[in-house]
Parts: sequence; structure tokens; C-alpha cells
Amino acid sequence: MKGLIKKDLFMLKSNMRYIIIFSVLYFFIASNQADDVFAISFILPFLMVVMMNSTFSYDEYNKWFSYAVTMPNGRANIAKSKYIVAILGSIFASILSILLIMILASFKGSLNLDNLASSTVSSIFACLFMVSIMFPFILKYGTEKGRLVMFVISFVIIGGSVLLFKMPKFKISAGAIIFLTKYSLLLTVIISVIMVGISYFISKKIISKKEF
Amino acid sequence: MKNAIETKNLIKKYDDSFELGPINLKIPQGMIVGLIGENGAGKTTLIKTILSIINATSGEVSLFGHSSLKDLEDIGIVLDDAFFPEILNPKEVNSTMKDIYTSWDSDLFFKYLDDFHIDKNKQIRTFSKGMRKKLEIATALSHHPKLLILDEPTSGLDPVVRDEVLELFLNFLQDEEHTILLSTHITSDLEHVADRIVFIKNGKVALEKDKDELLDNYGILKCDEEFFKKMEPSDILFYKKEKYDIKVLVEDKKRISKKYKESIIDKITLEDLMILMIKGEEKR
Repeated sequence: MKGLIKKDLFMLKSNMRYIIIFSVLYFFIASNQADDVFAISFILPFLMVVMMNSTFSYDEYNKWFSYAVTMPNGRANIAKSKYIVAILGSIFASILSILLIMILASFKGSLNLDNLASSTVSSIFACLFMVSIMFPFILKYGTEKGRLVMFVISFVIIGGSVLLFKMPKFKISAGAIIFLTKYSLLLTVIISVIMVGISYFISKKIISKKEF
Repeated sequence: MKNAIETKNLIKKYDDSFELGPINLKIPQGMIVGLIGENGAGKTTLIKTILSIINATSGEVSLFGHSSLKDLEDIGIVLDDAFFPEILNPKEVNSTMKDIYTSWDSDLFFKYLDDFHIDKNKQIRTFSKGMRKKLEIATALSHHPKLLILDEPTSGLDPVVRDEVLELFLNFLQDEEHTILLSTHITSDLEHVADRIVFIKNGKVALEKDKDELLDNYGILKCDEEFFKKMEPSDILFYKKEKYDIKVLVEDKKRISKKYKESIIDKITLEDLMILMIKGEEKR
């Protein structure tokens, strides 16, 4: 499995320079537009998810999976390595994001860092959410269809949540709000683990039976 | 000695009516077996089913006597069009493989790269088709496998390099426990190295013979229409009407030569055999 993780990291490294250039440019443009770190902190982790997507594209183009399943523990390790790289990538991107924000804050005194921790955790959660939806669909249907389905599902979930909150009859009690606020970090971690776990379980099943 | 590869009534059905099998193959250790057949005959399907890249509809496959894929460490593979993503370079391939195969030999891998003049720092996408194949072969050999399963391994290689690669395969077979299953369109390569030939036609094994027996005993009898009509049907395997004569594939050329004293029987090549068995008519 370590070998497959290294392979994906090598692939990410190949694309890294373009992503760094793009993200640094976007970072400074965005930071001129807003003083809130919330929007800024999402950029790098989101780009990491996009890059993970591109590793699937290269894998598919080179029929890598046909080759990989002939390796020792190939089928078992394909899904595992992808998720590990995605999790490590999201965390790495978030840490990098924090560093860049701190640098930015030292130049731009007006930057509000109060929400930095919660923004960072939220961005990691959002990335893992996208990965959890995306990976099983890509593994089942390929990168083109998988990406399309991912956008549709994400739109439905996010759009549905927004509509739900706007509904007059839908109210969260004050107690629930206090609870959610107090334990938001822990809840985010628990939900992330469950979400990624279910996604990994589904992906593993898909890979075990798939023909390449 | 156990069989390196064994299939029992192996069948793979596709929805669009192509069916491979039933295939019953026994490939003993220590052999090079050549798999030939026209495009779409089922050679790659057979290889992929043996390796569980695709699932058999029914039947069994065993490698080294095991029905489950326990021995993937011992199998080196070259597939026709599947390999590492092309944005990686050979150094990164080495780094990946040494954490996948416990028997990965980096020194041997880099030695092959030097012998094949492959730049270890260049991305695979910059390589020609031939260089990619050489890299794939080097990768397959560098974890000291006991079994090589190769799908078009010499495709795109110039004759000099092909010769070097075939020598590598012959050296690989110096160990009696080593085996090669080699699918190729370059039939002259098989005439050079193979011990046995398996001819796949329309998803079935049309012929399975030891190469020397095949090339020594089979022949092409050339005759006119009148002579052809005098021949007994049991002496004709396949025949093909050409512009000026009829080519007849015969199985025992010594016997046929004695029986039809005025006949001209040429030595056969695997290419001739394939063409006659694919394009010719079967018996009368």
C-alpha cells in the first residue's frame, strides 16, 4: 500500500507547480477582496481535491488499474491508498493554508483570524465530504461520469440543506445550537470519520468486483 | 513438477455475444508458451481472466497450483496498453515498486534501464512506444518473478532490441522453475523462443502443439484444382484457393509426401499456419 500512496504523491508532485502558482495568485487576489479568512481557507484544500481527481484521470488514461490489480494485494490497496492520500492531502493543504493566512495577516492588519480554526476544520470537512461522495462514483463509473454524479449529489445535498434551513417550520432549538457550537469540532471529526469510513467501505466493495 | 498455469473449462461471456472458452490449458513450469491468434480472437481476454483483471463467467484458474491469487509476488506482467501513469518517471516507478514487491531489485532495474538506454529521470510520456515497452519489460523482470505473463511484449521494438529481449526471456528460462506465457502477433519471435504454441480462434483453442513438432510435421502442399480433388478429405486440415494454385495445410508432411508422390510440400511458418487457419476453409 505504501507503494501506491507514493505513486499518487509522485503524481501530485508533478502537477504541484501549476497549482502553487494558481493558488498563490488566487490567494492574494481573494485576500484583497475580503478580510474574513473563511473564503480564503477553502481554496488550497479544494484544489487538493481537484488534484486528487486528476490522479484518477491519469490512472484511467493509462489503464493503471488493470495493471495495479495484478500486484500483491492490488485490489485491497487501491481504494485504501486513494483515501489516505486524500486525507493527508487535505490536512497538508489546510496547514499550508494556515501558514499563508498567517503570512498574509502580518501584512494585512485588518485580517480577522478569530474563525481561523473553525474555517480550517470546515475546509477539511468539506474536502472529505467531496472525496467521500466522489471516489465511489469515480471508481464505479469512471472519471467523467463520476464527476458529473458528484456535482449533482453535492448540489442536491447542499441545495437541500439550504432549503431546509429556510423553511419556516424547520427550527433548531436553542439547546441544540449551544450543543452543536460547543462540540462542533468533535462532531465534525466524528462525522468525517463516519462519512469517509462508509465511502471507503463502498469503494472497497466496488474495486473488489470491478472488471478492468 | 506442478503447472504454472492451469485452466479448467474457463469461460468468459460478453453481452455482445463474444464468448471465450471453454479453455482447458495446462502450462507446465519451465516452458515458454506462445499464444497466437488474430485480433479479437480472445488472447487478451484469456490473459486478463487468468490474472483476474476480468472475472471469468465460469471455470477455474490456478496459478502454481493455487486457485486464489496468492502468488502475485512471483508473477511478472507486461500488458498491451496498461502501465504506470505517464507523468511518472522510471525513478518513481522504482520507488513505487520497491514498496509493493518484497523481492524488488532496484539494482537490477537500473541495470536494465542502462542496458536499454532509458533515462530514469524523464517522464514516461516522453518515451517512444518501444522505450515504454522496454521499461515495462524491465519492471516485470526486476522483482525476480517465476512466471512471466506477457501481452505483446515486443510490439514497437526494433529487430535488434527484440533480439535482446528474446535473449532475456531465454535466460529467464534457464531456471527450470520459470515459465513464460507470451501473446504476440510477431510469430517469428515465437519460432525463435517458444516451446509450445496455442492458437486461439474465435474464443476457442484451435490448435495446441509443441512448436518443434508443429514446424517439423506440418506443411503447406501447393497444388492445382485437379490434384486437390484427388486428395482425401482426411489429409486436408485447411485449404485456401489462391490465384494460381491451392494451398493445403497438412499435418504429417512425411506421410503425405509418400502418399502423394508428385506433391510439393513446403516448410511452414507460424504466420502461414495462422493465415491458413483463419482465412482458409476447414477440410472439404
